[in-house]
Amino acid sequence: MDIDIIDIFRQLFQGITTLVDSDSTIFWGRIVLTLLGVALVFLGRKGILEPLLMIPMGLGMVAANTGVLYLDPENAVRAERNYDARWINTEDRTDIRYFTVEGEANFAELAKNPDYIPVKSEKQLNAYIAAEACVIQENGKTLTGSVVVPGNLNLEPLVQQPDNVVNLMQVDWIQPIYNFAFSNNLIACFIFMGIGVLLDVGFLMARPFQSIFMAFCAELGTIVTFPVAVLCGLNLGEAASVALIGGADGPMVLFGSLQLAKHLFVPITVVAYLYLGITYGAYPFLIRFLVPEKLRRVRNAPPKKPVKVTATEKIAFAVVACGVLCLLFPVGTPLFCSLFVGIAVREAGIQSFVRLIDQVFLYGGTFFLGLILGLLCSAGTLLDEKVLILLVLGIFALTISATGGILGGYVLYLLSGRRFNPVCGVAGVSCVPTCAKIAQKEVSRVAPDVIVLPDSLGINISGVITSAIFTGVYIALIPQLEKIWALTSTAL
Amino acid sequence: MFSLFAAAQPDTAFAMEWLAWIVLIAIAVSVFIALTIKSIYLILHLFSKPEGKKK
Repeated sequence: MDIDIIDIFRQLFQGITTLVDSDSTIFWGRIVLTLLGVALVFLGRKGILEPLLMIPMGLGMVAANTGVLYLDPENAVRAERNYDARWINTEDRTDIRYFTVEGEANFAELAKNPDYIPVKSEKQLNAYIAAEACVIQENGKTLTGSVVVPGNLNLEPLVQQPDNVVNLMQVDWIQPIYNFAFSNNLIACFIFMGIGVLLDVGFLMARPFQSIFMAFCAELGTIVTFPVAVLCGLNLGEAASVALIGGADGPMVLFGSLQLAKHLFVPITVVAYLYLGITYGAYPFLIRFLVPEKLRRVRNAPPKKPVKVTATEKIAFAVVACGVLCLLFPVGTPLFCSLFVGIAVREAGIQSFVRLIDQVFLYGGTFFLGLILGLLCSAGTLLDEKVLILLVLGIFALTISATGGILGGYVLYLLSGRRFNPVCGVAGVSCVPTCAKIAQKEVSRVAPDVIVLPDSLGINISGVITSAIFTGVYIALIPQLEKIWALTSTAL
Repeated sequence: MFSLFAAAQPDTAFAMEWLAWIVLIAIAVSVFIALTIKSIYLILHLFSKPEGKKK
């Protein structure tokens, strides 16, 4: 009996087999993303990027891009796994082809490419997958091959049917956490509870106009990116979903994309949370570019009357503000409730709850958030032209938002008689509490005795409120605008 | 410009026209919320003053 050593090797080391069998884009994509994952872990360890997020995320990226295997093709298709079917010639294993289905965007071009097998429909493709031996005719020759479907055992974010979700939860190891805690924003809510426990709302209560003005300026990216995204070819719902990334509020972006552009939910999820790494890494350089050292040393003017807010007042504020904000913006209810319950627990002095939220919920949520993000960053998901456009627009939105915040800081600097540090403006970008910490860190680099963190945190929290405002306004108006546009373009 | 996504492609001028309304509504709501927070703070401070004066 002949033993096919190569076949045994291919079956044993499928991570390498799937890499070698993939097309050049995915091949290099997997290698680059694996190295990027290693870099994120290293940068997190060094403290250059936030280690709480970057270390699990980096490991997740490494695992997602190396741990790829061939799944059972029929089960993979039935389970709605995000698949990329390939045909491998049984005789010459270097003859690997990819399928292109009629109706896809670049079908006509790929059908002429000898590396692709054109099929008329998904049904025909599934028939090839189901066949034991997949036979194709080419130049009068009969070529026999097998169809393979690469995948992983981490998670499948796009599965819709409940039966498939339940089945996948028994196979993919982090699928239960993804479905029960990530995609429904529970992890984001845990993190917001933790933020509430750490926050002192006294400054927001005492200076709401200043805080909300700064936060509004930091929504400049959300405003400007909308028409730019339309110019890039997105429709109104997609453009609004991408523009919301400028608010740097992941849960708001998720909710917005679910309402406005459901088919972009997964790529926007990945891009929206990657901002956590981007803001931490890039904002310090933006601050140094936009604010000269002399202005970074400015000490904020103390309030004319000392801010004394008792714990009872803060609890009362938390209850009333929660009710009012939820009434105005039900879209933000999960986050507002989480934030204010954290504040209330802290001000009530319930130490057992404070410890539970601070140590378990906050750190547990942050850990799983980073890990799931990393596992979502596979080459197949990210190296899609749609995702690259979203990534570019997302970075654009975040950059413009930070610039807007700093411009708002300059306005307050002038209005206050040069007694407000413009760096605080970057805290209007609602990556809580990262942006507030970045503002303090950059000020401390040039003036260690200047403290801007309390003001920055108040502005940071206001950023959540303004993000909710824009999310609510977009969700309310965009469907109406789409109808108006449909009528207008039909009339023309 | 290239177009990678589904149909119903709106005009940028249409988006810009309605963007002004979106921003105006957002400004109005933001001012209302700031006023609400300040009112809550002032009311709470009003009620807490007699307590503060007690010795």
